[in-house]
Amino acid sequence: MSLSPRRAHAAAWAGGIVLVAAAWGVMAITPGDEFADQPFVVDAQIGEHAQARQMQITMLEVQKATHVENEHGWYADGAWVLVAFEGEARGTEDGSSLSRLRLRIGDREYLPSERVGSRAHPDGQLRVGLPETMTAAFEIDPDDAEKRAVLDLGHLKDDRLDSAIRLDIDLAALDAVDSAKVPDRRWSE
Amino acid sequence: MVGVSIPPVPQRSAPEAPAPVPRRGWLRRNALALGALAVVLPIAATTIGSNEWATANAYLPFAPIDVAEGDSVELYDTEFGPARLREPTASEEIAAAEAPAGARAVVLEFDVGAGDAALSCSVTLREAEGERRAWLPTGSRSACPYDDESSLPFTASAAFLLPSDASGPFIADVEVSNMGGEPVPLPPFIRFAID
Repeated sequence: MSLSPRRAHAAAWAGGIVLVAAAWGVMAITPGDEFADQPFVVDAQIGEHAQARQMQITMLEVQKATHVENEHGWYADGAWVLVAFEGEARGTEDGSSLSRLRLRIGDREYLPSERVGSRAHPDGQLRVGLPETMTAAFEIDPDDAEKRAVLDLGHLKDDRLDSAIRLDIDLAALDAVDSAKVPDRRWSE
Repeated sequence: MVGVSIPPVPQRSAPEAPAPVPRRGWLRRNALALGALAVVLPIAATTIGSNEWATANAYLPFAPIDVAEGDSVELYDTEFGPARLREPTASEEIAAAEAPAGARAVVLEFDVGAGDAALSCSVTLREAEGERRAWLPTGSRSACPYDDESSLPFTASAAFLLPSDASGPFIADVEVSNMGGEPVPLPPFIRFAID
């Protein structure tokens, strides 16, 4: 088969345009660097075990409150989200600490309040075979109190290529209680 | 008239049938190169792989030195062992008082002999069988008191909090590092067996 010179010319242009379009398409669908580093997400449900690489977390209760107090006489008013959970290390205690604990609402990221005191703060080493119950208390902007929130929990501050336990929370569906307790971190019953 | 001899025009041979020599297959023709590849590729993979692996794990405790119960071993010119588990003493019991119901506190002890080096040793208590769960000391990870000129023999100890279903036999991993010396690549560590 042979083409006339005009047709060959047109075919070359068409082929070139197709190749440029294909290159653009490949660029457009290529995932970014963060795609290859994304965490392994474990969806948590209230009352069910959620297992990460070296820890097992059981979400117990989510509360919204306008007033919180700890076991030592401290109290504060504001918009608070309290998440109670049980945690233990799996397999080994080496490297099994709860270093990442944050509540994401929209673009904002909240860390558990340190105002509740170090004994109530949930951060730290988890134990093998000895579950502990703890409560993370997040003091949030009142404007965020009716939005959707995601609690994110993990071993390391850096969640790349590591497991991430996530709990989806619809804050609008929760009724704010007048007063809530933030108990100290303690051994589970 | 000089006769000019015109050289005969070289005759282009008429399209010639393929040589009757039997064509050898591609595999056969490249047998030598393929054979070389079969040798070189595994060597390259092993060399690069082991090098990467060793670099990635360079300073993690690597080679266990197994020590039978009641025995001791010498590392960095210092004698370690024998190791044993014991109940906590009255003063240690106070620290264990906050333990949950069903848990028990144990204290791992091992003797460290006289030596010239300032050593640090971090310990892990592990189940020898089954799930091989591992526990860290409730207090400091290091069981050896740090001392610039630690030359006196002493007994290292570390307390652990174990759940009631952890019954042993146990092994105690002791990672010893020489504080004064250069880091050792692929460092050895001591693995005491304890019944």
